[in-house]
Amino acid sequence: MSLRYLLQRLSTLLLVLFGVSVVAFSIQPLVPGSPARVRLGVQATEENVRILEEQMGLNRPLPVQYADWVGGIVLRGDFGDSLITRTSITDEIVRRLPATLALAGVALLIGLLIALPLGITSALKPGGKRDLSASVVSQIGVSIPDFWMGILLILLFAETLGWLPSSGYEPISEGFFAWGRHVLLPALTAGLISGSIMTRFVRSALLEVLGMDYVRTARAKGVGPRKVLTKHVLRNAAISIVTIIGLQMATLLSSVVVVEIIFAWPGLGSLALTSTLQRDYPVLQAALLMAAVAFTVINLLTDLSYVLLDPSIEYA
Amino acid sequence: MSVTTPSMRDVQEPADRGRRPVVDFARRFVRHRLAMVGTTIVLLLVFVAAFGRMVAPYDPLAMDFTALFAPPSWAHPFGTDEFGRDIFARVLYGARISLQVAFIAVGISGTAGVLLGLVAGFLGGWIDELVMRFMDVLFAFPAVLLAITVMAILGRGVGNAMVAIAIVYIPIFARVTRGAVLSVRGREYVTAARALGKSPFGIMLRHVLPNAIGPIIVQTSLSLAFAILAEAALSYFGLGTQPPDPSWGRMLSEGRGFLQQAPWMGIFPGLAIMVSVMGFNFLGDGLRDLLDPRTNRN
Amino acid sequence: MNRIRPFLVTLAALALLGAAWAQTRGGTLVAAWANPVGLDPHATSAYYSYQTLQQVLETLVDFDNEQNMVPKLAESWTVSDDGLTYTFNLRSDVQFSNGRGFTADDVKYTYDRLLDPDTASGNAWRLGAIDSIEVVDDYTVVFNLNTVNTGFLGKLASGSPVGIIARESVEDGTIDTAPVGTGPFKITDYQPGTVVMLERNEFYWGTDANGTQLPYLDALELRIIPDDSVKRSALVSGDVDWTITVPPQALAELDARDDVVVDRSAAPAYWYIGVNTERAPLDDVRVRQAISYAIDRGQITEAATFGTGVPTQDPIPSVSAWAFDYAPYEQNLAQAQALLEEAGVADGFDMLIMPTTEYEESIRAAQVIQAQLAPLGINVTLDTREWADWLDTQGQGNYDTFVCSWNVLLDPDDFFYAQHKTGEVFNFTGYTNPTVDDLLDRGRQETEFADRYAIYEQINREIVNDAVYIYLYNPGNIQAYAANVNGYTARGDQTIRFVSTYLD
Repeated sequence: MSLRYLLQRLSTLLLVLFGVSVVAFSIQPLVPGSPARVRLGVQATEENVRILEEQMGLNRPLPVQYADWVGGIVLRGDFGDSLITRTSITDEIVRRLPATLALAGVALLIGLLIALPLGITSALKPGGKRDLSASVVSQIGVSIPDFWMGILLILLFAETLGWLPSSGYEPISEGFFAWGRHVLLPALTAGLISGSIMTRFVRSALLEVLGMDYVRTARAKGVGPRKVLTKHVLRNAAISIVTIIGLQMATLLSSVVVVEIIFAWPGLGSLALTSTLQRDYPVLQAALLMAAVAFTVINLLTDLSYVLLDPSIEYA
Repeated sequence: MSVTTPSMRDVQEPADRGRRPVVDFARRFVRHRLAMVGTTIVLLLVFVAAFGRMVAPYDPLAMDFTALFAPPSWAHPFGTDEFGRDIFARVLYGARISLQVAFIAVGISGTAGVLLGLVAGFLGGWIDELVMRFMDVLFAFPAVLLAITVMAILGRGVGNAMVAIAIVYIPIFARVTRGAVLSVRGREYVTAARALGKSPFGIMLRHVLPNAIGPIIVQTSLSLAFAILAEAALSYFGLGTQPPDPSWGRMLSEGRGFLQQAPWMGIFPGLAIMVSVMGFNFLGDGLRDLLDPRTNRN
Repeated sequence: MNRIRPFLVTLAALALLGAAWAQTRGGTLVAAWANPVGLDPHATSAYYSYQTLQQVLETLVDFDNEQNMVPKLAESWTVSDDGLTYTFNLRSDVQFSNGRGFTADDVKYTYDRLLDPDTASGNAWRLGAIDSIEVVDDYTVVFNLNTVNTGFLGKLASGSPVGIIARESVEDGTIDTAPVGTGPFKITDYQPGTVVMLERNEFYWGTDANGTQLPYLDALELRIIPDDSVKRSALVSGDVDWTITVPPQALAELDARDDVVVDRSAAPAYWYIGVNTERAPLDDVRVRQAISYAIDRGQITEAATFGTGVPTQDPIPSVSAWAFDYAPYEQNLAQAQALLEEAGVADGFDMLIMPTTEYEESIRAAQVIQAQLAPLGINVTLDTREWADWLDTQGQGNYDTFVCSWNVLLDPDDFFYAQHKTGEVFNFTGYTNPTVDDLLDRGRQETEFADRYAIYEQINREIVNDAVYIYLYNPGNIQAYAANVNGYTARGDQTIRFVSTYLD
């Protein structure tokens, strides 16, 4: 991988992030409703609202506000303060990031634990009984909206069986067991859905490789099916599967927003949503920016990992 | 149909394939179990959406305070909700709303995304760069958050929900189209058309688009499924279809508060969503099998 | 079986009484909570912020559960004959949770800050009558009013919005996250959107009847759980001990469980349709009356509250000493139709109704109203809005009708003055009636109960007749908690207090 390619990718990434920051910032003048009004509530006078808006700095020209905001992030790593709670947004993000990472990570793991075995068994005998049942299971998983899946899992595992807590988060510093008990249900909600989606991708990625000439040749030469699978198929399907994981992170990050709300999970998704409802623009902008950074970096890593998986790919 | 019958046996011949691609495709389509199941479901849905209101036993908005939370019975096959409204009638009416949202949202995003993808892929250069980077920007936001933010700007309501869902899916269509365009751009017939001095627009329309149509159709079908789910997610946040109108997503979201008292409030719209998502997915998967040249080999 | 049970319960209660002595102390109560919007009592207006602060801040005077005025931080008070000067004698044994003694300076500081225009407080209106505050000595403070206001003490008792704060938390900038007060608990950690952690205030001055130090609990953990059905699940599965809202439709099922207690009381609150009196045809009183005749309040209450509210045609609940029970509008479609004909809109008209996603019950109520007005040809469209947007739209008067509620109303003045007096900031309907304006001012100056009652009865009649607010129902005040939570009662003034709560 040449340095030039890497630099080019990084500059594109910065360009995209710049675009993201502009789009995120432009929400503020477009959305009706004022954060001052939210904080002061039904009993505030128009005069109260005007004074507070001025204190919040919302009356300054937009370019000034934007420059101030981006300047703070780039120069000082400071996202500013929440308009509603007047606390540091940077602290808030640092506190919430591990929760979202834990949720997304475990969900992805659960998704892969479902998708790989199901996808591989289906692809080995397409049209067979196992393929059919895997396809039905994954279709059901795909077609249940995440909020509904979450509520059903809470009813089953928390309320009826009493195995897992219904909601809430424990940081891993409180012990692995406490952390794991809390992360399991929300991660299962997101994981079941993304696992169902991935099953179908894994299946078609494998089918594609299985149809390749060298696999046919290997089979014709009498290589056992297990060996064909591990030695030829999986290795060659790896790139497609990594791409799927990369893309799946986009779905996961989105699904996490809903799951976080349902399970009262203190992550970035619920932060973004609450701040939208409260018109807490700097917090919303920060959360959107973080999500976009996460997503673009994952994308970059996915692309770069191709090189590791397949040395024959050369980026000029 | 009379034309296809005599040539059935010849369809396998490569020469014939080139001559009658549509006939060939139709024949393989009918044989493909998944695609047929999907088509049947989708046709059924469209039928329900078009004519369901005629067989609906009740006005879906009519309240009956003598029959609150009635369980499924002959009078109310799917039961009633917290206002005594008939859920069967609401599911039938909801079919039209939910499908409308899906078709219009995907229609908008498909048109916009395909156009952007065509322009970017065919013209290349800085236009390509500009369009695709903008798509990257849109794509970088988590879908639900992007949709919710768009809704916050436009205001709630089913029309705005369509726009919000459309915006979320534009980048996917643009990418798929651009990818397909790039794969045919260098082919001889395109180069030839260019050399003949044909207008870029004409070339795009006549030569590039038809060859890129496969992946776009597949993406359309899959996006329809996701659009139905997206409307449900927006309804969970109270942003999609507005009460008292019934969409499946709205009904499902309302039903979650009544799982103990009246599980039927969530079960039936939930089943409707599940069946339609499956229908669109089956159709999409089937089309992918049939249209993707790589899987055609077997 | 049924006859033996009360006996057994009594026996068990007696046995527990001895044990309770030892068991009332300690423990952490975990509550399912909802998101506060900042914790500065002067900068917020959010219900969940106030309920959080209720554990932390105290007022000079207070209401007991029978709505009688009782001393709190003020031991006693006197009112001058002209009704313009209030002198409070403060308790001398009170300390803030940071250990500093509470004095009259803190009272002056708190209210000066609240009334300062730069604070831009949405709560300043409550104490608008204050002209100046004088500190006489450490434990004596005098309030000078600019106008006689019989309800003034009631305003000082209106909970955490007017609670006494320590200036230290303003000066060190923690007022938004951990304001310091004299209350039974102190905030130790506030993670917005996640949790508020409180510990007992070791300096708290209060004791129970036996002289035991309050509060009993060591700590409170207020977990923010946005989804109401998840709150219910968390309670039922034992993850939380107590929950701040209960989906009303779940009450019947929760009532049937023996591990959950459902606590109900009448709330001093009402739900209503606010009508924009500046828009045609709603500017015609006959049209507003027609709407009031056309609706069936019983059905609206049933659908909106699942039977936990009480239908009403005027604002003050029947259980109050101030109840008037004026009810001229029994549902009568013929009458409604006749009124519309008189007003020249016999064929009906198009009308928007604005509920908010903040309160699901407003959307449910609006749907029933929509259905009930349809037979008159009044074509109602729901204009549901998010809270931020709703507040803005209401403030700009950009609506036909809306559905909302007023809460924590104790004095009859609270029910009418700010809402209906010409030009008052919360008079969003644009209503103006010289008779009512005059009566409202007289009501503030009159001190005798019988005379005030007569005044407010007349005000009530005027407003109900003018149908500027179309009253729907008085909601219930409902809380649900685990059976092992003791010493908690749902209070008539809607405040949530854990000061004498304990777990066994």
